[in-house]
Amino acid sequence: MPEPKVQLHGPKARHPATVVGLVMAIASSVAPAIAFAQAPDTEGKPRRVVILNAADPYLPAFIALDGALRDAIRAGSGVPPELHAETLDMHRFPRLQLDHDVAALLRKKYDGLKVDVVVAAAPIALDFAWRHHADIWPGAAIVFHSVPAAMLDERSLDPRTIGIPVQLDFGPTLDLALSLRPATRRVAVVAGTADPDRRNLSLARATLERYAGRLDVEYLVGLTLAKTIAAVRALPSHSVVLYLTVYRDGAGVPLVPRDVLAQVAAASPAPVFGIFETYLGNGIAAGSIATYGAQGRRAGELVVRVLNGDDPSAIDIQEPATSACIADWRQIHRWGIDEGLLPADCEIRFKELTAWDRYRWQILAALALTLAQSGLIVGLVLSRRRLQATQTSLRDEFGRRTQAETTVSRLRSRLARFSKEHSLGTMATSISHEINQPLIAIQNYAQAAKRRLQSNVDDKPKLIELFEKIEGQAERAGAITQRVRSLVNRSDLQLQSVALGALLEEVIGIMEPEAENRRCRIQWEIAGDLPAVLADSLQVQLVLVNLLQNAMQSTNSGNEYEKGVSVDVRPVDEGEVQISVTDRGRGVPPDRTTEIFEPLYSGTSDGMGMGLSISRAIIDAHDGRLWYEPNAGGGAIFRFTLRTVGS
Amino acid sequence: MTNMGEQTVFIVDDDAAVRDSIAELVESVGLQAEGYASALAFLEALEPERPGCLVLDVRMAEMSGLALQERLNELEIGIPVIVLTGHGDVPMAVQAMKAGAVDFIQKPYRDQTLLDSINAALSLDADARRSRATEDDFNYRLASLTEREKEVLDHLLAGRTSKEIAGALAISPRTAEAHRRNLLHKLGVGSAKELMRMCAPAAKKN
Repeated sequence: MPEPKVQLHGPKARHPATVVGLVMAIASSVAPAIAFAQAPDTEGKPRRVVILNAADPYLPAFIALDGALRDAIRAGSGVPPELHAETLDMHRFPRLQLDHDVAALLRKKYDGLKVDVVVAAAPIALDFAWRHHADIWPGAAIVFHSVPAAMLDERSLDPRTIGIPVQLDFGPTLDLALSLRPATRRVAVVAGTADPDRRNLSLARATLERYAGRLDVEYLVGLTLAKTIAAVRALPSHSVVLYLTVYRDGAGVPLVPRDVLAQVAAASPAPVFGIFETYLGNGIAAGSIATYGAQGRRAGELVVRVLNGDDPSAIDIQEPATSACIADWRQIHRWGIDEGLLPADCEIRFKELTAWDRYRWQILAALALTLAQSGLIVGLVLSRRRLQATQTSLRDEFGRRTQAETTVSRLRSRLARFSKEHSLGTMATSISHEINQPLIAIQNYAQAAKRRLQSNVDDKPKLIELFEKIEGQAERAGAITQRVRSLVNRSDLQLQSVALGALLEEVIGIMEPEAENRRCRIQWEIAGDLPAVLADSLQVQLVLVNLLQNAMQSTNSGNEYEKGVSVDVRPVDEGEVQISVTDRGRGVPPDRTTEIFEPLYSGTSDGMGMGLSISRAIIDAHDGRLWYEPNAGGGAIFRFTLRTVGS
Repeated sequence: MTNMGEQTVFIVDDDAAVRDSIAELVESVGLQAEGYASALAFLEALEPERPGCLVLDVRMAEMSGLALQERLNELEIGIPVIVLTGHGDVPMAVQAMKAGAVDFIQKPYRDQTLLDSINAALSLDADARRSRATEDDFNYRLASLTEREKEVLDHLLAGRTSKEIAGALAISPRTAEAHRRNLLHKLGVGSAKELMRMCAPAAKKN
């Protein structure tokens, strides 16, 4: 361990010789008593402070005050002194009986320990210190706090006793209460039965005498806690409560004044006022209060001065701690007190910042966001309206399209049911491919044979082989067409009563997209008294689709007039309905009017030439007829008949 | 055993009759034909060194004609391809041409159209193979030169005389002349002029 070194900060540390010299000078110039004064220990001997507390050391007031005191001592002294705490806690006990024993204990405890300062907290501690310090802590200076100035007057103060008296005065608090509650008629004073309670009560009584005649005063003193609370609850609302202290109730039950206050305030129909800082936040609305922090700090500063070598007898008793208005914002609002009635310099605690105070920027930001959102929403609503307007205007068109799509999908599902091979589309692809293959082969074989013949090379076996191959492919093609025709036969038909009007509408719905593509108009006319026909509606639809497709294809290159296709449905003869599909296109050359119904005939470049053949087979199977007639005005008319129900 | 030198018309079509009939047509004009039922069968049997052309049906199950074309391109097999398409199948024809087909023919077709196309494709293939062979051969001969002969060749190609070459290489004109004679012989050319002509494409390439 290194030799203990004094590491003082501040002027003393820098000029220890000067300080010692100064102390010596003071010592030689003042009263003999000063010989007891201890110079600040520059040789490393610890300095000691005993904090003598008369009350419960966990009283909120004491904790607040003692904390400030200790902070001030630590802050003001270079090497912090040893701090000892002694709790007499005698105000709730018969202290005069205990006094001798407590003193003996402490004497024994501090025997041989040099104590520099005794801090006496509150009157009982000061009284004890006065009587016993020379015995227990010889040479120690006494620094007091929380002692009413009035009590100091009672004794002649030792010159080595200094401190911060407290001016307990209920007057300013009562004035404050009356100014905040101008309608007050009654003051209820709540106090306990312990010594400090009685002292406070006598002080309050003296003050209230000044208001005699102006106010009814009700003393709620000497009651049990429960009765006190009940009495408070029964107060008229135009009262104010002046809460002093309740260390002990009328039944002698020791209590913590602050806790009693909380119950009083909770029960009270009128605001409660008090003078102690610890009451703030526990039920009083306001008071003229000397804060513990200030008292403790000032007491601590006195301790520091003594420790640093100031002669206590040269230090006067300090001015009492000053009190000032402090209000509990929540209580002020609870009682509907106009904040403007508070003194201008009144400290307001527990102010609940309004949402605006606290979150101004957040609110502004939220507002901006809300506005932006509102704008957005308005924009969306507007655009939605526009959209709806557009939708409305498009509704007819959409409706038509949707209807067509519904029809198409319905038909499509029915077609799917009609099995793959039976569907016209699939048939078209597969048949076209199947038919084309043997045709191409036949063509190739025939040309090969022709070339061989032309080359004059006599290769008879080869030629025979080629012609056999041609025959084979011709048979293949024939078989395919046979198979196609056989797809449509009577046994496959599902004949039932069909309303041609509905069927035709469905077909035209299907054809509409293609018609639009080709810029072709389909008109139709259905006789009003049309009887139902006996038909396989799907197959008849296939026929109609085929005829309409042919009609539109033949009008492909025509002008607008030529692009009209019409469908006419009317009853003919007895038990027959005739459907006619008329176009104004190229028509059918007179020499081909029979050919067109044969398989593989294709009048157009992209047809596969099966449509009319199959269509005729379908209508034949229905016991109807399908035929061609030239349109007198140019173009073609395909007609077919179907039998009516019951014919 | 097929004569490697003779051109073959390879026919890929999944319809046996069509395949056979095209082969008959092709053979009727004295050409050799081979039919394959699928693109995969053709790829399986493919020998790139065999000269000829390919007649390909664009619509086939399994692997389409277009897919076969793409595969051939990947394999860098430059056989000329004639694509047969259905009537009016223009998009397919366009795709086939984009994939490098030399021609497309729509079914049904006139026999002469197909045969003309086949003949054009065959001569295209023959030309390509000839130029590839010449190039390969010359490159092989170039590789046989000694370092000194290669030096002399560089000077010859730069248009210098034997005398100038002798000076540049610090050898006697007689030795330079000997190198010149040897390298021309090795490369199978008669003169420096012919040499320059032969080397032009090679020089361009390298």
